[in-house]
Amino acid sequence: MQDMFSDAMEQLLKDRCAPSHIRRIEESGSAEELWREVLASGFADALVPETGGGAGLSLAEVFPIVFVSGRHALPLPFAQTMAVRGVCGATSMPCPDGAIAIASEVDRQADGAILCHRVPFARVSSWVLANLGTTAVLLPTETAQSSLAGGRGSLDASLRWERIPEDASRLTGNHDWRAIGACLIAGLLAGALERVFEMTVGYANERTQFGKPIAKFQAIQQQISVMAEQVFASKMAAQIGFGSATHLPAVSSAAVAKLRTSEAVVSVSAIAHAVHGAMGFTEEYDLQLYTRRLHEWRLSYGSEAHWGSVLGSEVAGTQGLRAIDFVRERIPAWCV
Amino acid sequence: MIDSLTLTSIPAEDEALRPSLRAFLDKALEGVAADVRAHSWMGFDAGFSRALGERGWLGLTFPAEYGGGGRNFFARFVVVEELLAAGAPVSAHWIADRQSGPLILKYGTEAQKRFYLPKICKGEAFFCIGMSEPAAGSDLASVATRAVRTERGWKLNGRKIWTTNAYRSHYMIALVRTSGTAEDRHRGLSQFIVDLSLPGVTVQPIRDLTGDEHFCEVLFEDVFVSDDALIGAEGSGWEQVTAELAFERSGPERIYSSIVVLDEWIGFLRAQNDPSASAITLLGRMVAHLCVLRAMAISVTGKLARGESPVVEAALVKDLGTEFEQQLPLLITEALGGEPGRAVPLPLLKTLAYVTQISPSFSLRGGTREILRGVIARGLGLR
Repeated sequence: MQDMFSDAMEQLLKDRCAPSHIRRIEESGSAEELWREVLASGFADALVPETGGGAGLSLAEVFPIVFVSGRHALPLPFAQTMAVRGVCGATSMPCPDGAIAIASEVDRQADGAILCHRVPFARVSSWVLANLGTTAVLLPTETAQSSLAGGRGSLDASLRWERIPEDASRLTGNHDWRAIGACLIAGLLAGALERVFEMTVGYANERTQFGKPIAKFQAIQQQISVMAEQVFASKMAAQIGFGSATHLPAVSSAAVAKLRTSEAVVSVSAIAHAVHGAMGFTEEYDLQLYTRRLHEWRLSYGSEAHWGSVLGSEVAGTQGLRAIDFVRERIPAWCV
Repeated sequence: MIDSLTLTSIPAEDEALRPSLRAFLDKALEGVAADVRAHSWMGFDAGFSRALGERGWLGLTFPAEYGGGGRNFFARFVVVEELLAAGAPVSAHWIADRQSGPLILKYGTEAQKRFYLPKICKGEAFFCIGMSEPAAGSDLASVATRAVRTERGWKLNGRKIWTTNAYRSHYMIALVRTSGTAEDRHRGLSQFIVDLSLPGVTVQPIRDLTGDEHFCEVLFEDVFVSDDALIGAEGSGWEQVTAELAFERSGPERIYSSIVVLDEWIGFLRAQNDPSASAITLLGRMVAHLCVLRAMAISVTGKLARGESPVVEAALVKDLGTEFEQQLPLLITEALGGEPGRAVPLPLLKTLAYVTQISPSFSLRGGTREILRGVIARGLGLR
């Protein structure tokens, strides 16, 4: 069933989310057409219980769909919307139809204004789920003051509302939205890292220098092997993050997923650009669609430094448990 | 391309092996210093290996008719993981249990299986690996040790080196040339099980930089072995040695070589009221790496359990795993040195010193980093 879903998603994105579509969306900041197509596929309700009209899948079961979204650099908060809809569905709350970004870093000001910092995909979202600690609130992006929070082509924005609208939907339950966001991004990172790896292998086999493909040189082979290791480790880390039988990740598993995938970004993007040479540095070549995102996503919802600190405190605070036992007992990784 | 690694869980019946083994290890290793336990799978204790054999923890994957446990590779993963996590001295039986036994099971005659496997399972036959030679390290196909067929059987002449535990093992599985010359490369190689007590075998231990003696030089001078010492088919040595290396490279020992020093350091951090923020972050990163590597190793174990020979995947996990093992002592040194005012307990210092000294070997034994990356590159179709 999983493969069926991810194959269908793969086909949809192949047709509708080609590099030319991504470039257009990055330029215009508008992705409504693509969003309607993604929504029509029904995948956005994958985590909603069957009683609520969804597919009732676990986070582990939707991993392949999120991974494929990362492979195609889908310029929409699809995974995030799926997660928020899943949380709404679990409490039978209605959820609006638009794309929903997740803001984990939120400031409330004395005058009632609300500030959401560096929200991934906010430029192409209709809603932002703002994390207020014990609750979260859905805010419409059309009434926000929005500032681009990234470099060229970024879809991230910082947003400010004068006040929370009285009729805003509130999600109850104490959810760790930073960990949820981190886990989802880890799934996207794993997919994007794999795509960058494939592009690099492909280019190394095509590009000829000194009379043979550069893939035939040991110096290149050794670098690409290192890349393969990082990419395989990232996919495993993301599977650990998504390794939950419910619609939500365990915090420690999300920590491992985001930490390891973020760390992989450093060497994978460096090797990809090294192998591609100047061509990989052009706007025209598609590599940049991915490597720009890798670095943005590394920064989103906590990098390896943040999650290292979270996980390290947890290990240090758990008396008597050996490292291996901490891994076995405290970092759940449920297999489908 | 390489097959991707899928998150895999250890079946409950194999997990069930853990509690009794742990209880045994708690008792057996009570009071053993951390720097001694840090020798891990280089720690040699024949009596300890026999005790494991008596309790059915050796040869877990061999069929019961040969004295084995008749279990799958997950069962072995659990047992090996517990032994390594505790820092148990497993070196005596390690190679036989990990690769010589599985090799005999896969390629041996019925008589060879009946002779060797029960002894391995009891911890009574210890093996060493006869691959490297003075002029054949990474370039294994250039082995020059030669076996010539005579009226009295096969006559061996040549020299093996860096042979771990040769001076305290009963047998060596040696890769030798049975036809052609070094120019024939992979053709004309065969494997023999050599009884190391035979006349003409001379074993000389070589002291390593930590002061220990484990690896050796082994000289064969007109050593006569009978036909039944040949394992597998004559001339199939290269194919067999490749399968053997997949067994050698796929186990969890390629992640856990420094695990004792990590746990010692964790104990040191837990005893502090005010551990430094950078040390805690570093710890989290190490545990995350451990978690992912372990999941990758379990996934490779799943492939072994399904009867696959995950040569490339094993190379990939080993390279990543040994990098982790080597990083641990370096990063812990950086963390401890970052706070010169905080006194470090001597057991931690000694353990760290030993692991730091031994760690260069992690990415040499079982195939160097460069060779493994070459194996991966071939798997990716780059060569």
